[in-house]
Amino acid sequence: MSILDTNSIERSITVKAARERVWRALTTAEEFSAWFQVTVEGEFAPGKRMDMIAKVPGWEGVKFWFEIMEMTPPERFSYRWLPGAVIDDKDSKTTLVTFTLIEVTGGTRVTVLETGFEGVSIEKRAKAFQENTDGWRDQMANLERYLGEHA
Amino acid sequence: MLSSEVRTAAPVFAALGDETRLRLVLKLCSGGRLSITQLSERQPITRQAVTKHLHVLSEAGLVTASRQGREQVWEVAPGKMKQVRRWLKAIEREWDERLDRLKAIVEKPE
Repeated sequence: MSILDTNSIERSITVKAARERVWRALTTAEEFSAWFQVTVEGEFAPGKRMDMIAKVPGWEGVKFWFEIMEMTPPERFSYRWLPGAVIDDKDSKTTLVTFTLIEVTGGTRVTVLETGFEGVSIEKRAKAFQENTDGWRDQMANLERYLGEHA
Repeated sequence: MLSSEVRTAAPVFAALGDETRLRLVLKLCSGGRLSITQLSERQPITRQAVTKHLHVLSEAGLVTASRQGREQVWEVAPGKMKQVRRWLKAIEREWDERLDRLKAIVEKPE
């Protein structure tokens, strides 16, 4: 196991849809809201800060934001944010989330790369967990179950 | 992940968030048990600084020291590294769920 990879996360999925279609889902408020499970309004544009409200079970009503860094249709979309429960922490540095869309046979390869975890104050994140014990209980149970099954 | 586990993970990430300490951990991962002298070789910092960094890593539970003859040697504590990976796995899981929802939306006929 490499130790260096504690600073970033990369996930990929292949979808049966054209890049332009995926691009629209990534960068329009209405569609982004649906798959990211948030409430967000307004047009996506580079340099713009988007304010959102979470709708994911266990996080309902939590406000957060991200700042759009790059929009290169239909290839690359990136933003900076404070991941997870560190949304109110002014000392933590943001992580950079980059979506890359690559044309493959029959569809599009969607890759998300999140880098910069070394700059996030995990202590603050831990504190946020403690302060929201009730709201987190279900989410914790889900995670625990998942980790138990996939350990 | 339990909140107690997140609390445990906090000092681990803080300890790894430094280039020198990360290098020391990597060196111990590939080199097994090493003395301070061995760990200070080809490092741009003093033995004293290396010792200080090792103590930070030790407090986070990432490395342990033991005696080998007259010398003190250091090695990685593998259990702790597993916790770090597990913590990141929880964040990966969040991304997987989002990507699955994205897939469902873009594959739906318009």
